[in-house]
Amino acid sequence: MEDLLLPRIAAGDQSAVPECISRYGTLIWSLARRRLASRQDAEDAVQDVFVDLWRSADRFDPLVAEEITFVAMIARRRVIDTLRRRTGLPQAAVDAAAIADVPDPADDASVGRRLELGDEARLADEHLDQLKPEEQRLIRLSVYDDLSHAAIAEHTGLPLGTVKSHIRRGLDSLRLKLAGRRRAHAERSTR
Amino acid sequence: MSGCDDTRDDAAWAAAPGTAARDWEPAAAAAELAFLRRSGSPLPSMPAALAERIRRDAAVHLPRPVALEARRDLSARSGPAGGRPWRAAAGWWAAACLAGLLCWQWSGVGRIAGPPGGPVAPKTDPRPSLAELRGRLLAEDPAAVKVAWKKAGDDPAVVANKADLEAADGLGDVVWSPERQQGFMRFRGLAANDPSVAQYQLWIFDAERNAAHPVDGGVFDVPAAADGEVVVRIDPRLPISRATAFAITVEKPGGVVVSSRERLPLIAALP
Repeated sequence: MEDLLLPRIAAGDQSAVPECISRYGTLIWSLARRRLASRQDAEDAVQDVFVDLWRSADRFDPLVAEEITFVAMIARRRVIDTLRRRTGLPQAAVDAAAIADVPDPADDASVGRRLELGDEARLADEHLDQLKPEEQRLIRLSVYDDLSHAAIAEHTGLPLGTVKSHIRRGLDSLRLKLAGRRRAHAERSTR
Repeated sequence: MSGCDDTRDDAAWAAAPGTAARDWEPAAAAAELAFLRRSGSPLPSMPAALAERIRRDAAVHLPRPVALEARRDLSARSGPAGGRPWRAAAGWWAAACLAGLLCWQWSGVGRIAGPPGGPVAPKTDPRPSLAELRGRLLAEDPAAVKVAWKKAGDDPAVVANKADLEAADGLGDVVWSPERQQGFMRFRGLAANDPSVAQYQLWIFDAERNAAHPVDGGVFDVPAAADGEVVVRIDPRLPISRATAFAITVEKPGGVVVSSRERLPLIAALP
């Protein structure tokens, strides 16, 4: 496992900054470019994400999430917020139309390396594999394609209640699985 | 949680006992990473110039090595950076103008003899309370100034009684040391906030900067348990050359980059 960087950031260690940018910059940039059509918007959002990281590094708790998951969580929050503001949508009714023009990140001039996305991503991948295909699809539409539950219901033709319950059940089981992993990890660490 | 955590979607999470929308965020983030992993395609590298900008700007946002106490004082420091062009610059100009108009009325600019009462920190805490630190700053720094808060509108966040509203410094004040780049805000009659719903955010107007770009002073909370006076440390994100006014807005949790100024309960302008 790589050394944790956020505790160093929280302690004001400037030397952790370039390491943090190097380790997570590609991921954060990818999360922004997946959602934001404008390159300038993506750059602004990524800068905001890093500012959020510098300021909220002290909130990182390895017992709650892996560091890369925490970074992805902060990035999702900020990038989705930017998307909402740019699309002028009053709440979070981001729908397929709002992201239709977003370029494929692979179209960017410089293509980076394949990233190691962490143990929790691997565990989540395995867990998603065990869900019914329909549940997997709904969760993907929600967390990866950013469709609102209503938009997913419209897109799939499923009742809204079914969409909500499938996504909730799938994410809840993943949440519990991740929590179990962290508990086990913490117990091993204390032995 | 989806990227669409609107109220409709939140209702689904609320139905799960013991969970709130934010409880799902790590799972949603891990799921997104899993889908990224599945896509198998290489991820685009961040532009080098952007990386350099982020690295260069980090110094002003990174916690100071001595900032442990500051983090304790300000309940949340996750507000985004200022410095982006303000879409609603005109509104801030209006706020700044209001501050200017208020200047002439003020007679409460001066010093106070000693630390005020009502420290926020428990008395058993061996560290000095914020009220004590505020008093020390005033006593030790002759250049420190004190200005009173004024109501900037009829915002419901101001719940001061009539006597407070009519008294000099009745709503509290701002103490600011240009030399030390430190300050404290004292509030009376500011409503307690629910940090999961909204937070107060400080903005600092600097004569050396465009008034449309006030410096983000961070977010803070007024706890429900606070009885009477609340003292909050000012810890600006950027150096302040010459502060001209301080403004408090009510924003979403974590603060905002661009304030809509829909709720701007208090303002304090330096003479």
